[in-house]
Amino acid sequence: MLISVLPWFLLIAYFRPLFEIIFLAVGEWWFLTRFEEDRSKFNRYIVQITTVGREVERVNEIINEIRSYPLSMPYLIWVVIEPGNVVDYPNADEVIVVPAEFESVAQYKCRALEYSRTVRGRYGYTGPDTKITFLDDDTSPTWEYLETAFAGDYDICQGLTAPRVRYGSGPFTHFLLSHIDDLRFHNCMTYCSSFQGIFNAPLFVHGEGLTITGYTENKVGWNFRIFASEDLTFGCNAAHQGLRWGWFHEYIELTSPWTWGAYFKQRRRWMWGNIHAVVNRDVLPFWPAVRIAVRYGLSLFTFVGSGVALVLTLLGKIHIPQIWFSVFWCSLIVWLLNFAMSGWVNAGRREVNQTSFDFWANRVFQTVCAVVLTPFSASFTVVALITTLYMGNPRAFEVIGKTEKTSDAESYTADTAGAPA
Amino acid sequence: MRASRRVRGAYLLVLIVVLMAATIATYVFGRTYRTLALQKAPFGRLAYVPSFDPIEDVSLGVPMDSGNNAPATSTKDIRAIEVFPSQVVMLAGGHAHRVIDLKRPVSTLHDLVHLVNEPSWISERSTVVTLDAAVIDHVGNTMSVAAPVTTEVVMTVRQGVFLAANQATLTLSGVYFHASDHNTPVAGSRAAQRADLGRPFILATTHSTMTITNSTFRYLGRDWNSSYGVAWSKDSSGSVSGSVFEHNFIGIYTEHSIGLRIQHNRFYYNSLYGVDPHSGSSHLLVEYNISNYNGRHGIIFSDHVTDGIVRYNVTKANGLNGIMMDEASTSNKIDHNIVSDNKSDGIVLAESDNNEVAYNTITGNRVGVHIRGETEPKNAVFRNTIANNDMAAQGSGLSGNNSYGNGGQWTARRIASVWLTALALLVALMAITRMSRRGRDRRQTRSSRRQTGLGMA
Repeated sequence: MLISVLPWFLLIAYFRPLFEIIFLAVGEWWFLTRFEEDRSKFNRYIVQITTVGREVERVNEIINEIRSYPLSMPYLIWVVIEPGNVVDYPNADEVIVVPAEFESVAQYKCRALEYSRTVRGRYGYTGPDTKITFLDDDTSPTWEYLETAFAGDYDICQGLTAPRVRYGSGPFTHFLLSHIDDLRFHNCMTYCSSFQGIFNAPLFVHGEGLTITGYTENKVGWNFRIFASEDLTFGCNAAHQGLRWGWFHEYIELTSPWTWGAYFKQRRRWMWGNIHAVVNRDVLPFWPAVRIAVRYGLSLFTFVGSGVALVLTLLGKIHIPQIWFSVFWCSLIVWLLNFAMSGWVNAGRREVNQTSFDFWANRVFQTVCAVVLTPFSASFTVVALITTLYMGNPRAFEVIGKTEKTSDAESYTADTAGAPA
Repeated sequence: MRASRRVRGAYLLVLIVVLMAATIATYVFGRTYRTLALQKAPFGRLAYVPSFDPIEDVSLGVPMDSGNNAPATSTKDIRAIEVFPSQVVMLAGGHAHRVIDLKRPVSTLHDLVHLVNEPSWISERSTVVTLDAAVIDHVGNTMSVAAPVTTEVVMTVRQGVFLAANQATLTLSGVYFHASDHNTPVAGSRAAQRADLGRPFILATTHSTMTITNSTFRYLGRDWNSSYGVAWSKDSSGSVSGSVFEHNFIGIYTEHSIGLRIQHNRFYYNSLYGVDPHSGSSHLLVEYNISNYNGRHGIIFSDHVTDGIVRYNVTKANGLNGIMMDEASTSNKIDHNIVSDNKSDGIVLAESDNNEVAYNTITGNRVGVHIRGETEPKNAVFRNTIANNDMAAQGSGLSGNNSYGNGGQWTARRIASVWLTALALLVALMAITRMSRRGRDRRQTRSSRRQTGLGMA
């Protein structure tokens, strides 16, 4: 019995792209036909960039970018930074420095977010008429993103992350890391669209572009006993408390890491932040924790299961009816198409001074690269998962350089954010 | 503008999804698939056990399954007549029973019977010789067993009975060799192996030459080292032609045999394989044979069998594959064979490269041509006629071959059904999309009105 069932159990891993394309299509359809907008409900819009304070140039670039948009609503740009850094953000409406003496259970970035919540509380921005969009110091929202995020008639919503800023550009390390991030776009397009937009049960939550109402922020709060994964924690708790999630197809553009060291530091922070959240019930409620754990289990299973099944098939140990071979071929093609779509979308940001020919030539080139690099991109994500597990818990919010220039410096721990209270 | 873009996007998405689903469904369901479940081996086989050479066994008088792992004591029941050019030595239980000095070599089995003159060892009635002991044609001797002097050799089913050439020359012509019973050797269990312990066989080993013409072999061999039926091993060679091999364990087996010619023979109902060149055999010529109804494969080259030619053979209705190249059996030419109605696949190349498969007619099998575990240099498969198999090929392209009537063919009716269903699905999804959008718009309008009303209040 086990012998006859085991091959099928392993081979199911091959079907994953087909399941995913269904999730992706339904999630996208849901957005196109059911995503609700009502601008009349919101009077105030805060775009908050939370940063340690060492990416001044990039943050100002983001602010100026936003200011250049013909946004249809009144909005404020807040920059929240740690003490001891320059506060030179001329086009920001507010620059909030988290006081060193501020005490909270949360640490690092989550602590800064909690502090900014208290500031909003002081201003009376805690009602459902206030919308807040959170940005990191490496993310550029598109004009459409901000418009849709503001209008979205949800307690909490977010759009689509895409590593479009300097996507696939040199040096070679960044080129590879950009394509490894193809999977990030794919995951967001597949799982955020469906699990956030339809099921109201997020599987992934990204801090970049997360948009909530003042009421949501006040109800859920940021004061969790965590050092990382504050986005996932907040999003899952919001859903658990019955708040309404929405997902929309507009791009929040981010930058892939510039060095291997930065890549592993970032993934290590996510991985251990998520593990911490999954194993602690005061951070994540039980069912969301199970959901996230299953997600990791499935990733590992897909990699191992399909790998073992492939070897056994090539060795002639597993024999399957031809009709299933046809399904597997389709699944494989769908998988490659998914990566082609990632390459196409991610290369869709036109850089300043880029000619039309350069733009389209680069877009086609990056799409081909995304497909060619598919086995590498997909398997490296699992390599990173295992490696970061081996590296151990950083127990700190390790910040990485966000531009080519700052990435030359060593990444640093946001220790200025203070120890837990 | 964004709203209208989304409306268009929703309908476009539905269209793309339906087209994609229909394409996948066409690829998967638009073809016929006859049952392609693997035809499992009709019986299991015990693992190979390193053991003594059978000639060593009878010389020592130990049971025929002796080896380092199964040390045994000698018994007088195991007997051998060792024929050298200058003397004949009769051994029982590993000890000399008699030594007969010769003035001239013994060249026929008939002469040997009369020389030995011990009917409990070897006897003759008319032209029928009965062996109750092993007869080993030894170093440098030449012996023939041929009609009309000898027309039949009955080999008693008891341990240690076989006919062998060891660094010698053996010619078998026009003779019917068979076991004393009519049981077909079996395999698959230790009990079966023990039951077949005394099953006789014929062997040419260690630089011997064995030539067989127009002879018949039945009920010989067992699942043990060099004892499979009629075998050439350890750099022995020769030829076999015009002969019949039926109900043996394996029809013909070779191991490290070079240049053996297997021509115009019939292999029927052997337990395992019809023709089984093995372990480093090379430059074999296998042609104009018929190998049908065998338990597993009709013809199989296994374990580094190279540079052979397999042509103009017929392999039909075997329990597994018709012709198979297995375990690094490379650089062989398989051409002009007729391979039909085998329960598993027609021609199989497993972990074997650089073979040429051409001009064969492959019909009515599970998979016509099946290649797996292939590396460089690739096998060449061309100019074959591949028809009416459950599937034409697996692991191999079909370009350059004439392929028709196999499973996996596109079926117009199925494709039409798929696309009609897709059309219906498209209409349904478009309607659902429209309803969903309208519902959302109504909800938003109501919500806006409520909000405006509240604002005014």
